[in-house]
Amino acid sequence: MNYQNDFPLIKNRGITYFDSGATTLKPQSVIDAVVNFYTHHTANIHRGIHILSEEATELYEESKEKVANFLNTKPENVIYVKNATEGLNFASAMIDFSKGDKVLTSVTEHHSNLLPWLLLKKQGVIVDFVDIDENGKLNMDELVEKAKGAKVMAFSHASNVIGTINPVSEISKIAREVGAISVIDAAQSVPHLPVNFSKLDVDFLAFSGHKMLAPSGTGGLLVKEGFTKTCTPPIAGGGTIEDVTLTDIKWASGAEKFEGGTPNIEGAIGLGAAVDYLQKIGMKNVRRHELELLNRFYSNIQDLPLTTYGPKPNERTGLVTFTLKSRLDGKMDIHAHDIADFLNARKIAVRSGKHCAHPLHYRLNIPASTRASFHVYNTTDEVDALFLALKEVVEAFS
Amino acid sequence: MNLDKLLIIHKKALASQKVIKHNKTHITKNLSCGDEVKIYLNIQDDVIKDASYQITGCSISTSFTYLLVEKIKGLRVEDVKKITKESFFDFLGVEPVSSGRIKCALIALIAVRYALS
Repeated sequence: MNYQNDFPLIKNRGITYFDSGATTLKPQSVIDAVVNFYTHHTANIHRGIHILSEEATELYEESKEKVANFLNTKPENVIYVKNATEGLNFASAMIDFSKGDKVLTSVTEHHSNLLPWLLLKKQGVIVDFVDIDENGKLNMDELVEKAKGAKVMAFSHASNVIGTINPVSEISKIAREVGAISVIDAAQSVPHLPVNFSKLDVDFLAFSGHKMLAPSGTGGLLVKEGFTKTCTPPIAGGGTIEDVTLTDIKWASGAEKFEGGTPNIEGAIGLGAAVDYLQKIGMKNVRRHELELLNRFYSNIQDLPLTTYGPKPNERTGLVTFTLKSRLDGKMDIHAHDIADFLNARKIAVRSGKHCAHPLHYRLNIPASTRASFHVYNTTDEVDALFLALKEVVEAFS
Repeated sequence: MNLDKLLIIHKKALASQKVIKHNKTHITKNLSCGDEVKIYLNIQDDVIKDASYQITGCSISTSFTYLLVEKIKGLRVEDVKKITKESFFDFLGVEPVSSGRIKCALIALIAVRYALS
């Protein structure tokens, strides 16, 4: 299937967009949903009696029902946040830590699933890391060993650099066995794979809406049944309470307790539309489409002095991160920014740099890398065009 | 600067790396992309008698380091100190790079300024 006609930016700009790992393009249906809210239903939610407020509230709650259904949980366990970063920061703030508690994570994490835990070190929390093997997969023996005594196990579902899909069910099982809380950064999995929150059996799972065809400033933190009752909200304000006096607080139930202030209503409605769009295609088909693109890329690259990082296509999400050598002496890497600039001149958008994963680049011993990340609107013809452009890059720098 | 011109300067810049007799030096790193430049300055009587560099970086950072180092040789320290981020491209007599590559282009200027401070 070719979905390009659903994405107006492709027609309007003629750009081959391979930067979906950073943010995705938006289909017309998502744009329409946001515009429709502004033009017909603008109002604040959960507050007014008037018809516009009722409509806005219904649309907002409908969005949550869609997201909950999409990821297989209940709406009251879906806290809307502005992105996965905020979700992971919320998770770290919702857990009570004491001096000497241990957080176990990995060397592959995006800074969003690293910095919130490193911040806890000033409270005396210990942060430990699991390494990866030569294929970019977690060392599971090391993980099992280091899990002992962990209070939190925080791992990405899929790496934003090397694409590795981590065995989250196994990680959550190990966490249960050692009594640890599992926190999953699903920013790079929810947009690309079928994700079943209940089946994964994790305690917290964060995702970003803007990486799954929805507007910026949207995302969710899914929490296991019961956590909304016991956890203290990291931020509090309008909408988070049932009642408050000068001496006492009675918190709202469910996710509302954690959504202080007027939320991104139009963004949430756009997120609901994005879920509709993805469900219409089916996440298994999204995955199948991205695998086809991955396989096309890997079948093309044999002739290039290119090194890719991470496991084979069926063990990774739809992205490829690579370094490219100049043929001049066969030693010098062409800088990632030069590759991205060259491709940009050919209307191909990729990412270059360290992709908010500095420790992983230090671990891989590379100064920077180039990432081409796919979504439903990409085609095998575009992957072929990328390959040809990369050949030109090599020639230019040789 | 178009790509062809940039690539010609880049090759010349890669080949021109060396360590000279110096009395001022500084290393500047761009941590977001891994670029690293080391500037060597030989200053006599407040004049930059000679300058050189070693660099690991992209074509922009390498080429603009070469252009800057060549241009400041023989200039008075006080005049080099007056080069700002805003005047940098005019000083070199080349078109500014795109906004996304400004950090690449300026890495040597930052190193020179630190070396002189």
